[in-house]
Amino acid sequence: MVLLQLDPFLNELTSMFERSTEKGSVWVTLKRSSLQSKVDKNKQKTAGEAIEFRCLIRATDGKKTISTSVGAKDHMRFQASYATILKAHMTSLKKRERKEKKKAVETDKKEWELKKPKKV
Amino acid sequence: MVYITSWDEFVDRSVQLFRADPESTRYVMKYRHCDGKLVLKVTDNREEISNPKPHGSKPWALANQPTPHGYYFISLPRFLRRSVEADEFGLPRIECLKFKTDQAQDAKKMEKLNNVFFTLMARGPEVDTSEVTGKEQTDAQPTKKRRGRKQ
Repeated sequence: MVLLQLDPFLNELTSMFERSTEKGSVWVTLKRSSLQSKVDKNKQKTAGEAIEFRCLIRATDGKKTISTSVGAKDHMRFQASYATILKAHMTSLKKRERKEKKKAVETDKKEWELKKPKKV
Repeated sequence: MVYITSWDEFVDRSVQLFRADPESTRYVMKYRHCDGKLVLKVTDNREEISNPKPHGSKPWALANQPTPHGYYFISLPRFLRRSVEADEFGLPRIECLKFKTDQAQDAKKMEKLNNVFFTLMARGPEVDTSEVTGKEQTDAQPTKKRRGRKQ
């Protein structure tokens, strides 16, 4: 696994999305992590030091795995660009179909109106 | 695996799950373009409880059943029951939450949840996330309507 800087990570994530349009999936995992081994963490704990946590972000397309991490200072910037990438690539999801629903309601009404006089 | 159908329930319980164990909880998004499917998962890795079928034996098959509360009751064999933590309703806690969708509007909702998790994970589980979720609504500017003649 490669730990990347924020911008290279976002670039690589973009190309992952582009490569998996015809087949395959993309996974993105968020996890809170100190990026240290358990031994180091325990040492710091016993020494009474505060452990610094960051948000670890991992992405994979099943073949390649990349990762990066954001801290309290830079997560705002990262989450904005991440959202833009998602918005640009999640284009195969269905949009809400308002017009069809309206039409369906109208046809129902018409049917109801047609039926009513017959009954009376 | 049980999918939660209500988005609000999924968000509430995900955050709850994270706050209960910040260091071992992960939030996974899976997007499959060719099928137009999006799956979100939040788990703290104690999946043996939410998916109690280690040997594929039959008694487990009756497990996850929806209850009137919208919570999922898991019936486990008696010898395993003590290992299951109970939630505030006295029902066993599920440690793996999943949400599945093919709707673009849910992707927008997911953006907010992403922001919540970025904030919680980068800053800490104590941080109030209401500012993150509330911000999006004020950002939306009303579109100008132009009616009638220009003066």
